[in-house]
Amino acid sequence: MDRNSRFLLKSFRKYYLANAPPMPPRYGRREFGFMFFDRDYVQRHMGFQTPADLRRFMVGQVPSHSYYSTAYYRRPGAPTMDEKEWMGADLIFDLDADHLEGADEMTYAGMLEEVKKEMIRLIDTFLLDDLGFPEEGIQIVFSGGRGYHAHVSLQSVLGLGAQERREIVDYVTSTGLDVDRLFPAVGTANKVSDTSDGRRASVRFNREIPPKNSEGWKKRAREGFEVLVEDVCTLPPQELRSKYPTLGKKNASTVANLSNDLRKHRKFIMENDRMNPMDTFRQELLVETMKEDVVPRLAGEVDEPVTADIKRLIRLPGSVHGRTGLRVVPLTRAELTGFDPFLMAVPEEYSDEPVQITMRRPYEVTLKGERFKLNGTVEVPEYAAVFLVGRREAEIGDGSPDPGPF
Amino acid sequence: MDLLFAARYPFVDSVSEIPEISSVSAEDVVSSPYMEDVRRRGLSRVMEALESAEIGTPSLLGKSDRFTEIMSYPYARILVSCVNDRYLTKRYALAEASRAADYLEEEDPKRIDAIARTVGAKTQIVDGEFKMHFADYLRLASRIKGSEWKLVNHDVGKGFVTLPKGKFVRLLQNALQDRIESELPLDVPNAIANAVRGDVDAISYILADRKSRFATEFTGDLNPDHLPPCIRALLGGAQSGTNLPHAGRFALVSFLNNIGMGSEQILTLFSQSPDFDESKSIYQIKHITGELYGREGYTAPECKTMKTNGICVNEDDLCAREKVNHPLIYYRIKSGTGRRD
Ligand code: SF4
Repeated sequence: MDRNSRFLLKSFRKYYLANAPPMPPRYGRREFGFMFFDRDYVQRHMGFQTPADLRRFMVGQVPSHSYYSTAYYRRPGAPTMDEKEWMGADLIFDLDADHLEGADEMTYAGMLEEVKKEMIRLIDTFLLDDLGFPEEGIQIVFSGGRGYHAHVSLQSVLGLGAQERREIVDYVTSTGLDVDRLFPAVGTANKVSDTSDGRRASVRFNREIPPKNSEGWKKRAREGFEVLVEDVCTLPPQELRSKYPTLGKKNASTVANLSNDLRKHRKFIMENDRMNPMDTFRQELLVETMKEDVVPRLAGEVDEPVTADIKRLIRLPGSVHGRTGLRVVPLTRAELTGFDPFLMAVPEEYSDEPVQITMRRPYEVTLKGERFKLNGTVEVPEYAAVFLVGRREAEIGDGSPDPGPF
Repeated sequence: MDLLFAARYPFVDSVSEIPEISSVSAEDVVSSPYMEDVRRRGLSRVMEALESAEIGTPSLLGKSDRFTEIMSYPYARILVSCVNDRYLTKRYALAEASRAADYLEEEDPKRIDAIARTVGAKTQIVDGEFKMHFADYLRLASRIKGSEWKLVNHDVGKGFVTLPKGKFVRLLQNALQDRIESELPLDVPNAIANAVRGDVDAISYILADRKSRFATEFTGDLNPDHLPPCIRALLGGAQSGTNLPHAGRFALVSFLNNIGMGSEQILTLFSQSPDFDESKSIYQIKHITGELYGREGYTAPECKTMKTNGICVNEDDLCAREKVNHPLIYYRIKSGTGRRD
């Protein structure tokens, strides 16, 4: 073990002496898994029958990373999946910075803030409103690393299979969403004319829009459509066409005519939930814009493999993350809004005592409200040293070679 | 509960509380000379299920018609339990459930609600709107394929999926099938089993005949060891009587056809499926193999498509190789029939 690991281990042990991770619900049926500072594999297939067993293990072994299974097993400690016998699994929603667009250009703090916003939308819109989980049925967790998880352990979802969970992911991410179902084209006999072979009615198709009191995707589509209509009626052409690429691809005059037409008929359309007074091709253009530009922005983000995996190991709340030293913090929905990991996930057990570290590169971070702007060999409080060494931004000592443990 | 309702849905628990019903003992049903109609109808429930996966809906006008229809249900269950064959049990449950669904489609919402409650699905029927909790919806709908069954294409709010009556009934049918199947086989006392031996033998005879008819027709030189894991899983499913999703059937049939099996040979493999309907299946198979139109059949889907459809399972080391991007390539490598062009 090098001096960096030795340092982290010491700090982590202080943390675990004061804080045993709370046992997850039905812990006796769960598998636990750990990584350690001096071993490069995951030790799996562990079961703990009492909170004291887990506590003893954490303090004695001081794992660098701690996980537990989202699944329940008849025999969680059995070495193979078949012998374990799967009984059910929590439903997990995982969001981390990896999928963020432009994550490379963001700071760690900036990324976490973005992910938090997405998590809030996922919970409020999809988990609470649509899927109807009670707020207390959702356990939110800051992962200690790059994101947040939401765990649902309600009886109704435990038995869902991988395929069924994938359906939930598709629901949230709008995968396979049929936009024509939301804006159905309804045929009405238009004018009746007499022809040589009898009377003929020409049929005209008009798009309907989801009514005001809709739910689920219809509700989101209605709201998205209202914004689109407002934009088409009021935005300067240039801005409108860059906000909606589908409109951007059309001639300037086509878009200008659409705006004029929509301004004229807006009231009727929104009150009657159908686009009848407009020309058919303008109706289609609006639906096309909904499909291509608006609906994708209304979709939620969620990491599909995590949700679909019914035998996954996930970070243990109350443990600390080996790559940041931050606490894996369980949160309620109300706490999530104001949650600042750099203030609230830094364990108190890491002291203010100065520790000498050498930066690998210049780095800036705000921890516990204090701004650090670092370069070269410096002294920082222990809590900052844990974070920086964990993230491989710094090494313990003055940069001279590691003398080893003795 | 009225007798008509009980006759339509004899599996509802409270049926046994009806005095006319509860006063009849199992011994009476299997041996009383007055119960001959009941036994005949019971046997035909099972036979019809076996032959066509459907059970007809006879006239329920008179009181005695209704009585016969109710009592024939426990009798049929005794028969199925005595035969105790997985394929028969599944097929019988399927047929009973679809018989009930035929009635349900004509019922008013209140009655549908009453049946929904007997299968343990969380449902709400308000103002003629049918709603089911999304978890129950997923459990029951995931075996039916097609974009119109995707959760994302439904209105979901406060945990409930709003459904048109037809779809709601279709899901109840699946739930009923699960329930009926899970209750079988019953523990049948020896005396009863002995009394029904004649009917049980008759069913066993037809069942064996049916199985052998398909088994002897299959003379392919298919080596299961050469099949990719996905196809092996689908084939195993079809043969053990699991309902394959549409995408799975399509992949299996097109794959088998691509490696040289004809429609009839493929049919024999499907004959084990509980909802197997010979005329319908041969039509579907011939559609995929192209025989129906006298042209080239479909090519089996590639790994990517298999994955999207959730039927790429048990990937092994060979699958992991870069050039294996199609189950057929896997097969060619394993069987040494690699195309040398
Ligand atoms: S990788 Fe391809 S061949 Fe292998 S199991 Fe999946 S679909 Fe089948």
